[in-house]
Amino acid sequence: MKRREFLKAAAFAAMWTAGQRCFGWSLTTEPLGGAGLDEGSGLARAELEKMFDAIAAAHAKEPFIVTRTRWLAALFDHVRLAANADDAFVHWFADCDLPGRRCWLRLKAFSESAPERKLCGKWTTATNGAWRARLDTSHTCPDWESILALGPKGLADRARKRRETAKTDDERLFLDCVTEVYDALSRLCVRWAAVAEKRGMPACAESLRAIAERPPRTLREALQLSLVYDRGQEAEGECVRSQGLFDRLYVTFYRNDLAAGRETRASAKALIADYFTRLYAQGHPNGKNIGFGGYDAEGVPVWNELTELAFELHDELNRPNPKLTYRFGKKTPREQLEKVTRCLANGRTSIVFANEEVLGEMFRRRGKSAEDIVQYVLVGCYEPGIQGREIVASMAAEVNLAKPLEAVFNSGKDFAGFPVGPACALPENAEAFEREYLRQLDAMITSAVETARLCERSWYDLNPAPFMSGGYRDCIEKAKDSSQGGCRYNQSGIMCGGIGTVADSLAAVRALVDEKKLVTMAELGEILRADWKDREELRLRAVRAAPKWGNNDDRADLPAKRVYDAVAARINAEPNGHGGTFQAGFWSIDLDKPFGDCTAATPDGRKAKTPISRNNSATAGCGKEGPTALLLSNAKLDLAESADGHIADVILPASLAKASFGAAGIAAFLRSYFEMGGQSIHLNCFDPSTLRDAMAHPENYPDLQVRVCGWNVRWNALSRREQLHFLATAEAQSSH
Amino acid sequence: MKTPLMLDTTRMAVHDGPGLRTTFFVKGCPLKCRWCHNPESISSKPQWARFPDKCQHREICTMDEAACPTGALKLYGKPMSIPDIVAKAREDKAFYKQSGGGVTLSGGEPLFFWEWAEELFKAFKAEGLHTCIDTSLYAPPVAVERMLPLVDMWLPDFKAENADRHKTHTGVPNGLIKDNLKLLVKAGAKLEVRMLVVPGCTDGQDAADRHRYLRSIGIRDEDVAELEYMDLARSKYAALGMPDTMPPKPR
Repeated sequence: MKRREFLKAAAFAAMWTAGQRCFGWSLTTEPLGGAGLDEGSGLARAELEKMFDAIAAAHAKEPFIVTRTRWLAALFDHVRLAANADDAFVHWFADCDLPGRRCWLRLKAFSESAPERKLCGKWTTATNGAWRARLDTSHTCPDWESILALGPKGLADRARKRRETAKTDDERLFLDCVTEVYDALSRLCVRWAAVAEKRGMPACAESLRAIAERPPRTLREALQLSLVYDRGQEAEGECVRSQGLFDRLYVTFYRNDLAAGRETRASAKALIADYFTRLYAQGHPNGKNIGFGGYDAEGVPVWNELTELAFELHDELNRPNPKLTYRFGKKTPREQLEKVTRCLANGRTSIVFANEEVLGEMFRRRGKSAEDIVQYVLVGCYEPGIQGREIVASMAAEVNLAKPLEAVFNSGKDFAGFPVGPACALPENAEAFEREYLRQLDAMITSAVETARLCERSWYDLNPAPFMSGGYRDCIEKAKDSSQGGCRYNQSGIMCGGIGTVADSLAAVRALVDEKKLVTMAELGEILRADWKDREELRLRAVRAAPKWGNNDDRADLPAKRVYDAVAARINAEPNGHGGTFQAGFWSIDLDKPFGDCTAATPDGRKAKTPISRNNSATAGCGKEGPTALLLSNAKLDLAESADGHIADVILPASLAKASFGAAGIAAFLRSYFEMGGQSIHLNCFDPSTLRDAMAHPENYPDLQVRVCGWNVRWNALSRREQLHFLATAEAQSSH
Repeated sequence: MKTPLMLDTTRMAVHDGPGLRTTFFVKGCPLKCRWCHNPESISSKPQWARFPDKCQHREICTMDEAACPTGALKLYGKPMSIPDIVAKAREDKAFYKQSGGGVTLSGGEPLFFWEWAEELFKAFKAEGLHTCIDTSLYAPPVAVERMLPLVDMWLPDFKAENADRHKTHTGVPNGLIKDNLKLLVKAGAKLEVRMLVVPGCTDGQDAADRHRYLRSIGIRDEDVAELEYMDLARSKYAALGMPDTMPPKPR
């Protein structure tokens, strides 16, 4: 099969499963704590399905954006709505998965219509775990400023007005679609108000009627609009993964409410608590991110009544989700930072910290304006993007950095025979090995970016997004869908996982082959192919006696830096498929396991089918020098080049949190990392003994949270395998 | 000059003085406290320890610590030069700066090797590091006098007030210790006296006596910290082949 065809097949296979991943979550599930569905308020699912079929048939000859618009409008007009008298807000309606699911089925049909479909199936077989590419519709940050300033009606009017000066049919079509979905959203608010009224929620009903007509004026209206928008966009099929810079977006509403006597601090706090609860109840497994702090346009750190209230609430609620981002930098006063780290000292670790200075530099290098940079948020877990100016799409491709190690030993193919890069001779020494590794990696990245580009070029046909795009002011100005480059910035991210495994492997080749001469390169290749069979002693030496990434040891850190520099330079220069460039991200989230499952044994002593290193951490069990050394290793990298994000993932001993200076100590620790050039960081705070006890007596630890890799979960919700993995990492750090 | 072997180093220590610190442990101590929670630090000679419950590779064990991934086999006591120690201490300087931390020398008994400790602390000071010393003060007064200008904060232990009881529990009398405490007070040294309270052993009247004595020589209550006794080191006694002398901890 020709290369291009193969890539296309792989791309479609990947899109198919990415859709599955995206829609496998809560869209179909009722919110935690009960739905409160009003059965009589709309049509049953089967009737909606019929209506959707009719729409699809009627518009089959027109661009897909028309069908999508009509689906969404039909959903808003006819879906059954829910409201709970116990809640301050409404957020859920039935069958909200329908339009998104149909797009996913469309991707699937498209994929299966490809003649190369015999290659389709699980993504791991498509590329053997080397990489995968997809349309990333699950990492977005809406244009919250526009949404709150205009409301549904204003958003529709903005598009209507822009249509008057539109030049082409395509522009008019796009703007008509936006107008149609937002007019429908206004009608949805009116219908929803009636259900809320019926359920005995007069205040909620009133706010819904208000936002149907005009922009929100009160905190209650603004928060309700945020939730209605959130549900609307997710019903279209794109996940909302940042609720925006909360303390900046809502503080004026709050102040006006207090001044007018509409709310007190306590009643406003209750509203925000319910807003957080609605997001929590949505049950998104990877969580909803909300931004706080950071410098404003004058360079002054933002800290207002809402920042204070939100972290107070986060501490009181003790929930894994929503997860909060706190932006801070050199100018952030100590008291402000310590109010946030106090949450961590109390075990509320669902907070990620972002560095103003390094992210500012990163955005500048990517050509973003100073005015836009102050509006940045972290989307999803820790992917930086400008609120309202870009979708972010941080996972257009996922790259397993460990895979090319196999190809170096096997002339460009992995041990299963899957082609990774060009044919090559077996290198004789560690230096040549690293050179060849980088060549194989480069070839692998080429495949990944080409495929991601192919996916994005079909974006408008497969997944146009009139609702999401209609929120962005730039999409309206350009009269273009976000999938066609309508946003101001149109980057998409390629995340790379496993830097620890790679660095350790390069260091181990040097130690075992070059220095100690325990084995030749050819022998090492055969040993790895056989998964260390009968060579346990050598494997243990590789694990124990070779230098390891994350311990501030240049013997492992410098190879990591060379790999990092090469990957970042390569990816950051690649054009993507919708009018921007790709951006390199260094993190793995929980792909350390699926990547590891299809990666053969590696020279660092790792066995086949075991996890590769997670995020930018040391390999599990190898971070012997503890958290400070891990940060020192990471700070050797130029982290302003991680345009798609870089996270330091740290386990702090609980003794630090419990010590009398807990909050101050944690703040000092975070600040030290940021001073030396860290980009973002999140923490776990526990002792291995606590985890052991929690495994033995789960009933005693209902509230114990751990941070998995960008989101928090309750300890008891983890599988035993995951618990053991955590324990191994925690124990390595506290073994001295 | 007597040079100690070193035990492991703890980075980001939070209980060995102010801020975030790197703590270095010397091997070797003239005392033998019944409750010692670091029995590997008593002898100044290298010692092998085996933790059978951690061993997962019995069949292929080469008795080489470097090849033992589970820590079942451990060699306590390795040489580490003063430049190496200083280099290690320097690594976390950024963290000391933000937190008001620094380095702490602990043990074992650092003043057992006071001439060496003096050299080491001169090197710490040349690096501009904040220094603490965790000591039983069982050392000739000249050791304390020589260390005084180099130590920013003293963390002395005060194990028992009564000389006989001190000897019973630790193997040595406490005359020198009391003299050195007075010397520190006289010199106006910054200190935090640590009092371990071992239930049924050094609690009750014993603890009260110690508080009274410390007040009588001019040490303020806020400079005294009582430490809770933990009997978590029993597996180390077994691993080292040493008789376990730790008093039981009432549950």
